[in-house]
Amino acid sequence: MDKPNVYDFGIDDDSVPSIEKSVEISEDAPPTVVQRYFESRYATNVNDKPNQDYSVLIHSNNLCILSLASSHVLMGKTIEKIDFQVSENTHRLSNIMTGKGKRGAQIVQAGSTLCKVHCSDGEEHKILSAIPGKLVEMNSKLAETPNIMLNKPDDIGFIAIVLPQKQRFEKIRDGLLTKEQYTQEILQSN
Amino acid sequence: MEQNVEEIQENLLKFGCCRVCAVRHLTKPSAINVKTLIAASEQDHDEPKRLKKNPCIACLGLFQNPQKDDIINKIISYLKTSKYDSDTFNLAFNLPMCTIIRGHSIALYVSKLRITFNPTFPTAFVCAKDAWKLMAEDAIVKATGKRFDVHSPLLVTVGFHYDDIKDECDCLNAIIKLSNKNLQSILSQMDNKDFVSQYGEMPSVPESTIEFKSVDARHESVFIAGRYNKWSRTLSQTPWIVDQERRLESSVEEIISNPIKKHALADEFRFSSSGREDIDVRMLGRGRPFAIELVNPKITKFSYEVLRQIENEINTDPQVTVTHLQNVVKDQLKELKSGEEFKIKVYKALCYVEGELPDLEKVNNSAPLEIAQYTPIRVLHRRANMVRPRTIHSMKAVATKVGKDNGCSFFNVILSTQAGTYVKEFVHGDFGRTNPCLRTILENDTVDILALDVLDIEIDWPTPVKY
Repeated sequence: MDKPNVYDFGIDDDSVPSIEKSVEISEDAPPTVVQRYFESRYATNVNDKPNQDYSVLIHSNNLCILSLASSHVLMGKTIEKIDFQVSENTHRLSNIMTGKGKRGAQIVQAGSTLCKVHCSDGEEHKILSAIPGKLVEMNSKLAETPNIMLNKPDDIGFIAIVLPQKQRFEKIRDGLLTKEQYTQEILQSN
Repeated sequence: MEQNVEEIQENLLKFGCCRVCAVRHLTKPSAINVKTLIAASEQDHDEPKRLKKNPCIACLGLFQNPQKDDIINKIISYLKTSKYDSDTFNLAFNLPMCTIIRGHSIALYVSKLRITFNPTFPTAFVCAKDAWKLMAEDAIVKATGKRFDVHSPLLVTVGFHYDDIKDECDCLNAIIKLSNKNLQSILSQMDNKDFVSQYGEMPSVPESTIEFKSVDARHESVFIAGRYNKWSRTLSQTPWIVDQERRLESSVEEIISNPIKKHALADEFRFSSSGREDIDVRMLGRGRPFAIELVNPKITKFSYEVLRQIENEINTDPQVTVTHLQNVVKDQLKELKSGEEFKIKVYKALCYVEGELPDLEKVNNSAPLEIAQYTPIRVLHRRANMVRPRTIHSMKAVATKVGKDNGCSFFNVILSTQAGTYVKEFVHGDFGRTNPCLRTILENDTVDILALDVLDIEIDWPTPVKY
């Protein structure tokens, strides 16, 4: 930071508020990244399969981050391996797209398989997309450390980023459960 | 020989040429001077009106009064009222195509007569455009005090109107396709007999006079540079418009550019800077280098005092401070843009964790550091998704207090980074998409950022102004 001050601005440094004083800091713990920029929505029983429950974090720019909801059938299990080859021709980690328009990206529907999970108890489960749109990113970290999907679902263990079609965005969002509706539904089913 | 010249001149006058055109058709381009033309023009004017004068068969009346002086006066009054401060000017105009055809026709006639006396005599003549330009320049220089210069940044364009262009060109269009661009060369390549058989020996006497249509001027862009500070966390750098609706009422760009544009009386401005900061990020220290292109400015000379005055005007807005305002030339802008990609930026980030303060030495010991950064989610909708390697050159973390007891511990990190590093994402990791990040370095999933300031953009540009 020590540099010859060729630029003497004549600005009294004391007149600039310190970084601590330059922002409102709440009495409670500050909102997290997720709370600041995302709306939290949910989809339950996707494809009419029990406990195929997902969290959808919707960014203000319409990008959606998909992750496992706490009521997902996989919660509490241990994942052995994740298979991204969802059909003969489609591998979710070979999703090549170009440019800001993400041309060539794989398209998913609500209920499309995003990957297949092999659990230590021998069970196999498909991970499904909760919404339709362009698959902008599949979380490649899941390949090496699959259990982050269960341990840190709304953080480094997210499943995928999906961009819904602009014209369909509002309809898709409104078709998802709000946090309150989701909590209500989970309470009732227990 | 001289005898011959005067004889031809008299013939031209009889055919309906004005005196200026008669003179210029018998003068070679290198021998012309404005005094000869003015003398011819005055002689024309002084002649008793024994006949109703027709518009000249060569220039359609361009050199004849009242229109000659009218048009020149219109240009002069335009320049006087339009406030251009340029010391020089250049003049451009397009004459109707038929003046070139008419000139060609007369030249053929002149050379035919001349060759019978002296076959080696050159047939080149002063074209209407050059002659009119000379006379107009001369009058404009005398009236405005501006110098004529073909390299002047101020170009004055004059438009003319003539009613019968189409009819006159049509007779030649029948045998050859004419175009404004290479009319002269098309005519000179044409067989003279073909031309005469189609067009006639001499141009017809025009039924209408050429008229003034428009005068307009354009000054080359000038560039003003400086550095700006942004003190606000609710101000975007450029107008923030979503679906044609303004989200914020102002922007750094507008706060800086509008007063400058107003002083320069420019048509529009183009703002550029060495990178940009987010709406909620302050730009402190010596500020961010920027430049403004002023398009078609009238006022282009800014004295030291005027520049300080403009700074003061901009700085009445409490959100922005501008310093080191100065004129720069276009070439100097390269520095500004190269800085966007290669120069080091220094930031201060106010960060926190839930609970106890972690060991901040982990941060201090980890730089320099190479990171891999996916396009942040917050800009991913309008940028391609890719991984970029970035370098964190240095980092220093220091615990701090914010005067709130909310169960969190706070610390500041001062870091210098390669240009293009997304610092907010480097703090919280953006769902693991920036790696490593402060969360991984501190091994704490709750690390997050509360506020960010840019402390320095390491570019020594533009040249510091002495205050």
